[in-house]
Amino acid sequence: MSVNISVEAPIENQIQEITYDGTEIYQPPLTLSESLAKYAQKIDFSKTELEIKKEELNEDSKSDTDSKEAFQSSLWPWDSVRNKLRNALQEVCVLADVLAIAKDKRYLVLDPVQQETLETKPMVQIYARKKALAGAASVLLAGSEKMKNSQTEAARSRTTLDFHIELLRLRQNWRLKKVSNTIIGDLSYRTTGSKYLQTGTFEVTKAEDEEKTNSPPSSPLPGSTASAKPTSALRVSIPSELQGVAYIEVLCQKDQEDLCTANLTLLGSGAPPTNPDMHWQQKLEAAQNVLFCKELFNQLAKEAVQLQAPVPHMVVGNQIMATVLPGIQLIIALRHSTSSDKKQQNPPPSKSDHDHVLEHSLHQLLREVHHKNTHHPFPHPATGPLGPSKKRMLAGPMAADRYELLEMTKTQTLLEQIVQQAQHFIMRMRTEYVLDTIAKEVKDPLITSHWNTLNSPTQSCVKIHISTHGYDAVCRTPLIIHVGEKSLKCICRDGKVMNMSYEPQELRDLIFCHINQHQILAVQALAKTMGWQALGNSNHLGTGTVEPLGNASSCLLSSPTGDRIIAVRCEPSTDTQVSVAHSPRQDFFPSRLVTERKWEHLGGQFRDVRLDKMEGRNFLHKMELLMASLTSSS
Amino acid sequence: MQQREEKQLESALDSIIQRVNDLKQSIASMIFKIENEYETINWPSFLDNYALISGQLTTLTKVLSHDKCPVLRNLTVLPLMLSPERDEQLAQLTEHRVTTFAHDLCPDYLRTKLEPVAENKMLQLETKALGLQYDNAQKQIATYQKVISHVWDIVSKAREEWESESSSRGNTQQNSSVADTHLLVAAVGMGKGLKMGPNPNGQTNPTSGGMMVTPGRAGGPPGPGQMPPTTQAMSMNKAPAGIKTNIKSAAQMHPYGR
Amino acid sequence: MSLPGNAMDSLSAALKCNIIPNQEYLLQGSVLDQYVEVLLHRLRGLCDNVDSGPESFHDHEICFSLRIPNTAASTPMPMSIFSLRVRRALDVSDTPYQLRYIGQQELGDKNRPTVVRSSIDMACSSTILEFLTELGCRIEFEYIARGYMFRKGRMKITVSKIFKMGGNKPESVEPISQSYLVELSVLAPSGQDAIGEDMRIFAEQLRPLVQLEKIDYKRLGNIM
Repeated sequence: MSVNISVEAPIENQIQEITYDGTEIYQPPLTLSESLAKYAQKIDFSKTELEIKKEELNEDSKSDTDSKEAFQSSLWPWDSVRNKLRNALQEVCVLADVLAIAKDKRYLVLDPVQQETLETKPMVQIYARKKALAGAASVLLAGSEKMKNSQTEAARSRTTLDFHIELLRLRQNWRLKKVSNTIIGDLSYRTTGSKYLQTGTFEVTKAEDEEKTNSPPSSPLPGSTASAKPTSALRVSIPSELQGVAYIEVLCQKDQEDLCTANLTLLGSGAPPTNPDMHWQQKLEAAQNVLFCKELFNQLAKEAVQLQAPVPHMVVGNQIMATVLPGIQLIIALRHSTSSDKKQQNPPPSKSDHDHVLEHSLHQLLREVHHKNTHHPFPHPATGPLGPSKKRMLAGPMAADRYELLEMTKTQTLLEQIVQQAQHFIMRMRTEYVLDTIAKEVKDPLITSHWNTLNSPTQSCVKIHISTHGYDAVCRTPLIIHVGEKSLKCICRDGKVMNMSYEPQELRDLIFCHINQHQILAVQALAKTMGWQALGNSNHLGTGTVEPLGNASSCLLSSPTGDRIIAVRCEPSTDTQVSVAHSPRQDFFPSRLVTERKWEHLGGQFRDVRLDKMEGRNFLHKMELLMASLTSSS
Repeated sequence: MQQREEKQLESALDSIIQRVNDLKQSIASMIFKIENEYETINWPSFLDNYALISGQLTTLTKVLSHDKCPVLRNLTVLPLMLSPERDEQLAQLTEHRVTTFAHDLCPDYLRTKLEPVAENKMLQLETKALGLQYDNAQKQIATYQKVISHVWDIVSKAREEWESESSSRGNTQQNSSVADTHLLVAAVGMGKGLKMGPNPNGQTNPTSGGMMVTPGRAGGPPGPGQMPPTTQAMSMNKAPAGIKTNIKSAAQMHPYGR
Repeated sequence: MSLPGNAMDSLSAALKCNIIPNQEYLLQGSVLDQYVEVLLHRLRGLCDNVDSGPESFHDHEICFSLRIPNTAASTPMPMSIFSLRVRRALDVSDTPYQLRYIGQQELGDKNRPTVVRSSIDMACSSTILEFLTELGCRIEFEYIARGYMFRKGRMKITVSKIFKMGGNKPESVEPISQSYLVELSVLAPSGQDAIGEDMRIFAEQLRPLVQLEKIDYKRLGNIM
């Protein structure tokens, strides 16, 4: 029919249908996905072969002849793709050329013609589209299926915890940041106020590589793999100086000679095993503890050097020695055992018991410093400067003088504080010891001591009762002793305050004096209940032999009728003396001075009572019996 | 009228040519890639290339189905002349693919038949379609329409959600106002809006009463030392009465007693 | 009586050594009332030890001005105005009044991240009010600021509502806007410009909730 070749609608039609045809053209890449996957492995294994081919291809691309292409077609995996693309390119080129020439209007023009109505074939379109959609859908489905498979596969094969989950947990407890390709953590106390210079960085890595090296030998033995505990997918590497276990050893030591006597092992208290498989949390905690101990020791050593103590502090190696009280040293040592040298290292020779309380106090003190470093008070009003304390802010308007300002700047160093605590600790121990020994030695008045359960690290208080068994209702002497850092303060029964030094002998003497006083007071109180009369008493008797400590105290009692007199003299060093006199004296001998009988009422010679021969449980009992017998005999 | 149509055709042709050239270039570059970089090429970049091509195809179709585009179906390519001589201009126009517009080449360019592979497929489909009865076909078309429109709804809804989500993330709401910032800063810095009315002589500031009393309010209970206003008259010459007396009360009230 | 001389000497020595923090690095912004909770929440996350909750404040500020007649005839202004601020806390007792001088602000070029202005403050007793009045200062304006403050290292962040004193009745105060004023400031000795960079980074973390910026007072004067 149409001899005249009319290039018309079909071209455009073809272009319009290009979506449909286009999908057909798309199809090759989609089918290629399979072919590429198929060939991907081939490429891996036949690398040499491919290289040869590559060389050929290079020549090929230079010459670019069809014959060589044909020669290659069966070998080259991309051939079908390339051919289809080439076809497509050719078609597009033709289209472009026709359009270009037609636009030029020299050889070809686009001429409007009458167009017969286009016959639409809906079913054809539907089939075409269905096919296209089915192709696209299958690709999507296959992809999703593949992803699902790999997901389940990974979930099933995953025995260890996922690295990222672990990382998430790590991040909940520790500070992490990413530096280029590595994850760096920080376990230092900087954010909480530490100013220690040593960094506490650690690195987080995946644990995969080590597992791989471990798994091949273990795989032949099925039992061993099953028994292996769930290993973490995450590995933390800690700098060598923070590895191992560290603690601060604190001990109070008396005199130099004790240094080389005891050789107790201290392994029991510290050094948990530092196996490499330890969980990262424990590992990091241990490392953080090492860092903390180092900071603490560093701080203490610095202070020890700077402080001007009457007896200079000594810092030797990992040990600080401070004199707490004469003859007593506080030794603070940093014990750091790394896993590597643990085997050959002997346990540190320990001289006496490590003081856990003081160690704890040290930790607490440093944490307090940290806290203070970060918790500055806020200024009020709000525009005020950050930093100065409220007291400092008020110093100006309150016209504080130089002394007050200096007082404000004073802060106690950690070492001073721990020395004070140690001093108090020693003082308390000594006081306890003195009281206990006196209680053991002295049976007659009973000595009971009540320690307050609530005390501060540098202050405690003990209440002492001196009483006599069976007569505690008659008389008891209370004493309160405040134990401080270097001194004792005793509040006596009469409200007198006695300050004593750290020497235990002073306390001992004081207690003995009070025992004497108690005895005298108790006798007088007893006498009152018996109807006897206290004629006089003296706590500090000037007569008699000179006492090595204090003065003797005495009292004079007379019977209800006045015919008997008892004299009691208590000496701290010796025993109590009791003498009895009769009045009127039974034997009167007129002398040149006393001539008349009326003088016999003056009372006779005192005669000593041998108390130790007397019956009675204790001194007061004996006195009671004595008074009773003297009363009845009259 | 015709002029306008021609112009329209011209511009449509221009844009089509441009798109086709784009397509041509990307196909060419992909072929180049496959031939030269097949060893190093990875899936993502490979697929990116395909995505580029398919995107260009889509834009081409869009251009063709655009309202402004004249109905190309109603146009025919009419050869005007053939020439056996080599035409440099032509060569340049077609990137040296066509150097002469001669009898041996021209028919190829006027081809109306489909590509054999495509034609084959079309034929297959047509025969398949012919085998179907009209009613059946209508039913299938209807169900197909229904299914497609349903899926279309789902997909477009999902897309809408995505887009709204991403857009909401993109533009954040206004949390602060610049005007308020300026107002506040000017107030605190220069007292803008805090000064109470005009006070020509600068002595009778109405705020003074309020502000001077406040020390008593905060520093403790207002003491009995607050003087009645009548006693203030004598200090008038020195300072405004309110200020002066209230300062006294403030002084008595000051919180850290000496 | 060589003490005052010594004091002056040591003060000038301290000034020379640049240890007196007399420069305020400042960034300002605001946040709308309804978002202030969000801002406080974010600040709690960003700032130092807010475990005990944010610190609130309630202050009263009075700005005094002193007009000094210019002796030099060449200057166009017959008077130079010198202003001083007195601030005191209303919510915390036993705190001193604060007298503060704020100098002209320097905006600097684009590279300088913050406004810098000299700031000298000192604590004083409440008699400062009387003292200033006796000096001839008069009250320029006053306001109540109430809000929260935070700190991050040396930086202080205040989020405050500004209230205008209501007329003669001291009890009636009214907010002057629907926003909270947000200020980020550091008091430092002069020459420590590095802190500005820290402030810029911190301000960046508060975006887009608050735009902390250098604000030019002079330009504000023209706008409003």
